[in-house]
Amino acid sequence: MCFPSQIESVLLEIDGLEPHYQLIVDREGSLDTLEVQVEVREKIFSDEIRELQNMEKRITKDIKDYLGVTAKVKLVEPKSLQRFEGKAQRVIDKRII
Amino acid sequence: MKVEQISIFLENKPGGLSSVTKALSDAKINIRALSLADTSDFGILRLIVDNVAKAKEVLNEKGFAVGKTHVVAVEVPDRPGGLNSILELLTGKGINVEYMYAFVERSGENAVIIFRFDSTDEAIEALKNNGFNVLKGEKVYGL
Repeated sequence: MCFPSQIESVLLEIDGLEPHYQLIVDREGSLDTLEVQVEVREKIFSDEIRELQNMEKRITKDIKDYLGVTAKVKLVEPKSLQRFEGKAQRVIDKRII
Repeated sequence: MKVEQISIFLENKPGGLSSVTKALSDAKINIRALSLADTSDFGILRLIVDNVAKAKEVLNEKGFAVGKTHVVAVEVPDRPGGLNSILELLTGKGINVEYMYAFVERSGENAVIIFRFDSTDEAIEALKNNGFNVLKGEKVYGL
């Protein structure tokens, strides 16, 4: 696994992305899964599906390349993720162990 | 000759679309034409409205990601082959359609087809030179 801050640095390397994200850890069978939710701001929004899917692929690829982790990237609406005061609760762990 | 279209990012969840229509309804903005493109996770709502600037403003206030794009509106007779005649011309010129949607005018005689091209200016030029009726923005907003 990796630290949330490492995911954050990958996201911040991508032009137009803002550091509003949430990580959701879950388990499928005996494997842990990671979903990275990223807010779509107008800078990266496009009227073409293809462009947005390319952005999802780019984030997935960068996370894989830099951190060696396979994540599912999900684009979400602006301001839909929880805002934090002080220490951010970036990770939601849904695993039942 | 270009028409302004607004597009809105929507997550695939109940109530997403209605929060947009509610905001537009409250601001008394009329939707002239629309299309919704969807994937498993998200959708893009594309709208032609009677007041583009105001629509963008009220949707931004509600926190939506709103884009503005130039599309092309072409009027064709509402009969078999209408759309095909346009596409044949564009294919010949090597112009790609990114997406399109259509509606029938109130008179019922003509259909209006909204196109998003990869090369908008070239497409408008080709359509006009071949006798197609490319509509002005004001005409479409007020249809």
